[in-house]
This record gives sequence, structure tokens and C-alpha cells, in this order.
Amino acid sequence: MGHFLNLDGLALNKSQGKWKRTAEAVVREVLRPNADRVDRSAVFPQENIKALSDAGLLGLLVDKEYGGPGESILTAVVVTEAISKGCAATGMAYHMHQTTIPVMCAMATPEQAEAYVAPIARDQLFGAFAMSEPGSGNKIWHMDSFAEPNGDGFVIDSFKSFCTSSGYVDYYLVPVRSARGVAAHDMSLFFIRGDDPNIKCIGDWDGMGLRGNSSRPVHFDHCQVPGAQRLGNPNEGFGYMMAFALPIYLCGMAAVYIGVAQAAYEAAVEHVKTRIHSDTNRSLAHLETVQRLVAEMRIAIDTVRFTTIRIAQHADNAMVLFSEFKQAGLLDEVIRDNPDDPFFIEVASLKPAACEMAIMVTNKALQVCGGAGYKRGHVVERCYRDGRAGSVMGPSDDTVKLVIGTQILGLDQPWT
Amino acid sequence: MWTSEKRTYENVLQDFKDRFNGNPRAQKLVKDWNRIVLLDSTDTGSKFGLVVKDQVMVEVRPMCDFDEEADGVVHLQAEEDVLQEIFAGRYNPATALVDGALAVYSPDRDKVKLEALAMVIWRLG
Repeated sequence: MGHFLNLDGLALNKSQGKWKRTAEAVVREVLRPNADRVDRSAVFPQENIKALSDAGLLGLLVDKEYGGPGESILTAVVVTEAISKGCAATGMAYHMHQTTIPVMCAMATPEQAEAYVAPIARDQLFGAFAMSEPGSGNKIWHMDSFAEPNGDGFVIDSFKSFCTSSGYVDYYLVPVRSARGVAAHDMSLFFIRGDDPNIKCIGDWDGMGLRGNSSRPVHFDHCQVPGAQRLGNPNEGFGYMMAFALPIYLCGMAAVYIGVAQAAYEAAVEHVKTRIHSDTNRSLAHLETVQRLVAEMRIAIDTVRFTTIRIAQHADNAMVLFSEFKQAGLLDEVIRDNPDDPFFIEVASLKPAACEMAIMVTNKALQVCGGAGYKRGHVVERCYRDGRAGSVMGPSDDTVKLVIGTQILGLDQPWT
Repeated sequence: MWTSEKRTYENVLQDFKDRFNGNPRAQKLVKDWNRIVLLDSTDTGSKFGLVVKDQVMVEVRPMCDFDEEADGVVHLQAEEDVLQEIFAGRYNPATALVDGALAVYSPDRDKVKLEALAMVIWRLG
């Protein structure tokens, strides 16, 4: 038996605790009061994003060398869960913004870092990652659109099927094939300014859930993009995305849905403790069925949360390792030659784990709340719809499971 | 698995030196990383140094009376069988670390380098 308290991996450090409390304060003061209106109106929550900006949360992941706090994926997970618990639409928009940052820090030249990354550290820019294309659905390693050289720059003609925050961002990070005719995953990443006149957002977002996050299609309609806005060298985009975007994307996605599930769970617990039936003069909490459902929700949430925290720590370590390969000029070949690395399987497993958990928990929360939870405007009703989105968001849970299954069975991954 | 037949521990380390020097990715990773990787057996007391200099593993050297705290020394500690399994290619050192079978005493930067080397030598071959 030990004789001291070992808090390694169990407790947040001071900085992480500070960011968590900062996010919770913004949720309490701004996001939660706005959440029902955002959901009903399906209007992008610009006021919420401004509050996150004012709190210094937009630049959380920007490296210290570019003026940011240099926080970890683990910190991002904790903050994203807190935000998503208050307003899932805002949480998803925030998460997709965060997903753009590590890969930009890793790829940017000093000039690009000064122009594009440092303003994020100052909470002046809010971004989106425009990935999925109609030809490949949710298989985000396959792009059909490509960059066409044009003088000193490129013409980007790319239709993205779903893009969180489209129309409301200062920049888009856009992966396309590096040139006409190259392989689908020989990608380049482009920084495209949100005010480019050739960006066309298509229609209004009218989703079942996450109604405020403007996940409508966006067409980069022959955007003239200066060469200086291409990050990295041709064909390097895939390796950098796998190394520096995928880990935060999958960990943050899990955090969003843990937040959604936690909100539904807490609302359900509150409901069953306060709802008194006159025939028994006892609260719903005294029903054994309710006690069991509440316990099942709690177990499911905690299991996924603790797994997410552990894998987020792995992801932070993996990014250190990927940076080492980048410095040695080995990143692209190591990523391409290592498609079934156990780390990628581990981090990929988070997405279906969290998204299926959120569906299950919000369903049970609705069950214990009965008709009250079914009514429009109840937190549980909103979470039930919000919680359904993750499983179909690219890469869908089914696609992720295929990737994991092929690795287990020793088969080729779909992008190799 | 790189060596299947029964070899002595020292022979295994000599084979590993050749494997290391034949791996261009490993050589890229150790640019400007001149170190002695000290393999310290907790059960037999054997000590060997893998000397890396100018992107080459120049020798496998028996060590005695060595200051494992000295600058430029990356100190790996495990039972000799474990070290032999690792350097025969049968046990990834990153996995051994997670399993608690291997301890590494070095600055954080050197630990990152070792993890990267484990990836390109043991995993990718």
C-alpha cells in the first residue's frame, strides 16, 4: 500500500483547471441561457463564439512560440465537454475550430504563422475545417477536388457537403488533391479567408439536432488562392492531417458527445428527484426502474469519459512523436507506411464509443423523464436530437468500425 | 522478429548495431544526437553501451564503473532477458515501457527520441 497520494493522470493541473473553470463560467453566463433559442431558431450562435473569444478560449491550442498558451488535447477535451454540456451546437463549432489549430501550427512557415496562427492566439480568428465531399461521403481521407495552378497561386473549385460553421468563420482550412490527377489522398491543405467572394454557402442548415451550428454545404467556387496560403508542400496534407488533425478531431468529438450526454443525465436526475407523484407522495427517484436507468447512464458516461481522458493523453504524446518525425523529415513516410498503427485504432475507437454512448444515454434520459422530457424545449429533448448527430458525422461510426476491423484482421486500410 | 536462433546477448546487440546502421530512417532520426545508450541489467548486472555518434552506431561496448548520470548517457534498465528480447526485435521497447518491464532514465528529449526510434526500427522495420 502506498503512503502518499499519487495524482499523476488523475488530477488536472492548475492550468487545465483554470481553463475548465473559464469555460464553465462562459457556459453559465452566456451559452446555457442562449441554448434553447439557438436550437429553436437554428441561427448560428455568434454571441456564444464571441463570449468564448472574450474568455481567451479560441487560441487554447496555439503553441507558445506563436503566442498561444500551448495547451494540450487533454485540456481541449475538458473545455469542449464543458462547452458542449451548455450548448452542443456551440461545442461542435468550437471543436471544429480547434481541429484546425494543431495542423496549422505544425505546417505553417514563420510568415504563415505570423499571418494566420498568431491572430488565433489573440482570439481574433475563428475557423472551420471543410473536409467532406459528395463523392466520398464521410471518408475524409479521399478528396475528389483539386488545386489547379494559376500564376503564383491556385484555383480551388471544391464542393464540401457539410461544413460546421460555414458562412460564419474568418477562415476555412480546406484539404484538396494537390493537383489534377494525383491520388485521392495526395492532398494539400489551403487556408482560405472567410470573406473570399467566391465562397458560396448553400441554403440554410436545418438539422434534426445541433441546429445552430450551420453545417450546410459550402462551395469554394473557383477561389483564387495565393500560393502563400498553401500549408506545407504538395501531397503532404494527408500525413499532417493524420498526425496533427485526426487526434484532436476524434478526442474532441468524443468530448462533445460526453458533454451532451452529461447534460441529459443531469437534467434527468434533477427531474426524477423533484417530480412527485400524488398517489405515492414519493418522487420518481424511488422507482427501481428509474434508479437502474440513472445508474446505467452514469456508468456509460464515466466509462467513456475516463477512456477519453486517457487516450487524449496518448494523443498528446503521439503529437510529440509526430513532431520528432517532422523535424527529421520522416513524417509523411512514417504515416503512409504505418496505416494500422495501434494509436490510430485506439483514438478512432473513441468516436463510436462516445457517439453510441450519447445516443444510449439521451434515450434513457428521455425514458425516465417521460412526457416532460419529450416536450420541445426540454433539455433532454434537445440533447436527444443533438446526441444523434455524432454517429453519422464523418467518418461515420460504421466507417470507423470498418477501419478498426480491417486493422484487427490484418487487411489493408482503405487509403493504402 | 529479427533473430530467431538462440544467440548470446552480446551477439544480439552486435546484430542490432548492424540493423540500426542499415536503417536510413533511424540514421535520420539520430542526426546531432550523439549518445551512449546504457543497457543496464537489473538481474545479471551486465552493462553494455550502444555508442551513437555522427548518425552511426559506432560500437557496442561492455561498460563498467560508468556514471549513468553523466551527460549524453541514456540509461535503460531491465532484466537481461527482457533487454535481449527487445534487441532481438521480439519486444517493442515502447510496449516494454508500458508493461513496466523497462525503465528509462534520461532527459525528456531523449525519451522522445527513443520512442521515435522504437517506431522506425521495431514497428516499421
